[in-house]
Amino acid sequence: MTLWITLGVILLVLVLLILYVIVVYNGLVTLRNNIDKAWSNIDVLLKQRFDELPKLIKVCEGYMQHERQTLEAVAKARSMISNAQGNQEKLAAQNTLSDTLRSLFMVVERYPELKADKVFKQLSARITEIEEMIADRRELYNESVNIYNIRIEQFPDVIVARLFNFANRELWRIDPAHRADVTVAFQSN
Amino acid sequence: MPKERKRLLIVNKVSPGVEGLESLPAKLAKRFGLDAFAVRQSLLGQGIALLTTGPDEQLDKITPLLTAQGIEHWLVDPTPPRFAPARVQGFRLGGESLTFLTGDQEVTLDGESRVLAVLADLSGAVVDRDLKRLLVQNAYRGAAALSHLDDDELIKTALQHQPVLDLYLLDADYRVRTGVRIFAGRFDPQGLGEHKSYSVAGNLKAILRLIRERAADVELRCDFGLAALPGCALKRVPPGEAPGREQLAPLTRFGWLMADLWRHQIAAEEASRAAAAAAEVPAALAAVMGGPAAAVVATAAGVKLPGMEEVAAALGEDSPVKPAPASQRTPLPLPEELPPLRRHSRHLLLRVFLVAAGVGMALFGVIGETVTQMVRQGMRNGLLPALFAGGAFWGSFYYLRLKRQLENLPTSKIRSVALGLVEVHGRARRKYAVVSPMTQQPCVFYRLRKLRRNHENQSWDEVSTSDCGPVPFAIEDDTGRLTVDPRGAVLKPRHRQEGLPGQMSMLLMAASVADPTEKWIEEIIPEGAPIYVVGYASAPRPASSSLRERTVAALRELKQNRHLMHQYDADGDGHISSDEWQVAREEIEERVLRHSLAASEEDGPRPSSVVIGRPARRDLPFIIAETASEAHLTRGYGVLSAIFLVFGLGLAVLALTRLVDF
Repeated sequence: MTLWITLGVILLVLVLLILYVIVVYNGLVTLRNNIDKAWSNIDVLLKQRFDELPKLIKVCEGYMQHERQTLEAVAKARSMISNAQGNQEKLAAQNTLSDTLRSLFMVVERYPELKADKVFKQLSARITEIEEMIADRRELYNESVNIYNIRIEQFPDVIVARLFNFANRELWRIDPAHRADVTVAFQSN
Repeated sequence: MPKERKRLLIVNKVSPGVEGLESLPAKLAKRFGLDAFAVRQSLLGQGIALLTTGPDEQLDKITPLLTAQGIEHWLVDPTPPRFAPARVQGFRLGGESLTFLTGDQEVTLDGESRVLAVLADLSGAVVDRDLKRLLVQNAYRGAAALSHLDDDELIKTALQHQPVLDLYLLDADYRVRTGVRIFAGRFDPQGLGEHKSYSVAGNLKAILRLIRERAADVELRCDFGLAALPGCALKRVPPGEAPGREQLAPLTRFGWLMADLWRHQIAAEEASRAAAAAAEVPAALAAVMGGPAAAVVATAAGVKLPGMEEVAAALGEDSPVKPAPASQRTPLPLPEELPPLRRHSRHLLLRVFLVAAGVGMALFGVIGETVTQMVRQGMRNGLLPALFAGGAFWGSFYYLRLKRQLENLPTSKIRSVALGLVEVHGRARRKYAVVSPMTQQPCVFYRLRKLRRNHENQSWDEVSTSDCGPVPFAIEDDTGRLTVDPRGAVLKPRHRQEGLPGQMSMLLMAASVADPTEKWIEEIIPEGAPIYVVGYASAPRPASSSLRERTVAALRELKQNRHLMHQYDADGDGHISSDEWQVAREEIEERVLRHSLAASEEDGPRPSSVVIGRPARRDLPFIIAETASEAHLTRGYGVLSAIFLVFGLGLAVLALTRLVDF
């Protein structure tokens, strides 16, 4: 009789363990997909920014006849994104576009008429808003990756993760050039 | 040695929505040693109030700050009342005049008289009604939308209680020349002739009407008791008692002070008018002398200066006097009648479990022998415990999965929330005027449960429950705000208040019935409380067409209009080449874009169209919890999971033992 009870308890514990493994496994799969979704959600915004740019360039062209170089740099960076292959190349192209946009907005300071243009104000506000949203979603992506990486290294999830080959995921990293200290030089007359 | 007299700095209170006002009390406290709280009380709201008194040098330094902030103010050297108005006993009505008969004199009002009328209520009903109105408005509309009773309401309320009408006749310099006091029902109305009435209020109304008809200029004040001015506080007269000197002295001081204010206002208006006439560019001069705020304030105060309105309009954009945002001024709409929300699943699960157990136990004692035998058999062979163990394990895994789902979901910022399952933290903001029924607190959700004492086991049984229904509300963080539709959500309020029948306020709880048989429990999520929401973000398609759809429609229209198409035929060959079509297309795109941007600017910033609601999939969570910490919530689910697990294990061992025995 005791044997049957022991067997029954072992069976019960086994069933519970299997159920637990299923819960953990499903959780890890959800986490992995959350990361992919977070990455794709950044792409959605990058696409929006990509689509808004021609309108901005068109408005700027009317005022900035002497800044062909800056405008062309933005247009070139935009076309680089279309031609980029692979995630790393796309990421680099997006960073280049962000840099050229920053330069464009700095140059705009010299054109008060352009700054006062209603359409330019709306478009630049829209692009700035999209940039902020991109930054937020990158944070969310990093948060998703962080939760996933912690889960697959923590006990008891680590057992399930190793059993089913769940590998670490990379956090989003900025261009190393942006980590450099900003040097501000004041010109004395 | 004569006592040094101090001037009073009196301000016209302003709405809390005015920009830059928040920092003014602190600034005045720092620079002039004023009490910041008292300053704030004096500045915010409606009506007039004393800001401070003091030496002239100090007051002269404060006034520019008030001007810059656009706050109407007066520096008054109050005239000490030389006499109290004489009580009117009767009237004599002339063709163009009205004479008030007192015991020893006659005061005649005619077409050249300037009259300051003060209609006061000595019972305090006006003050009570105004206060009650403010409290109700604060609860239903929020502090930013408070408004006092208007003059019509003040007059109506005063006339219904213990009205006293003081009339001051002013000379050409707007100084008090003489005054009379009319007590309701304590004069002979025969002199009013055809204007007399059989009601006390009717006679006072008739007197006010006659004064307006016959006097050259009339100023009526009904805010005695409401204005926070020194020596003018209302001392209430109990119903049925005649007011004594103690109650009437503040009213007299109020009347004399109002005469001073009127004189200052007239003088300021005349000075501005003279300055405007002299400079021929009145508005510009007013703006230079008083700053933009002067123009705006004067316009707002109804002072009609030539060109002043134009300056106020032109400079309004940069003026510190800015109306409160529309959201603050517009009262919240009332919620629709909605069916109550379902109780959340934790309670549901527990309830199912307890009901099942209760039914099982009831079967033993109540129902017939056959069923009892079946249940006994089920218990003996271990099937029933196995069944309950299965339910407990299911509960344990349900909460474990839920806990992990919440832990695995990163928190999004509201500004950049993506569609799909999301987790957001923020503060609850009402979209509808929901107020909790028991504590009268503005809230986004309430649930009221009625419990009755079970005298058999001294426990409390729930008799009924009601809630506000699924009223949508907003969640707000540093980056934005979006709507939450709570239909189908698990709502977890933390604010809980017990009350007993007949209680006026929860503060009186201790002094209530010792052994009540009924009690109420109110659970609410108050406005502004930190909340945590996990749900499905979706964006209902806006009613208006997209930019692309509008562009396509405009191009289609262009194609169908031969005359318009002809404009793009640059070479005049009678048909549109691909280059010409490209030009036309770019122009149309730009025009539609400009129209769209102009329209969006006119509409103002559009609120986010994203709504967090119930996920279509039943296995995804939808939780609204009043908590600042996700860990607090998940810890609770972890504990529940563990309890179910232990319970399930115990039942499983029992079932095994019985099965093996059997």
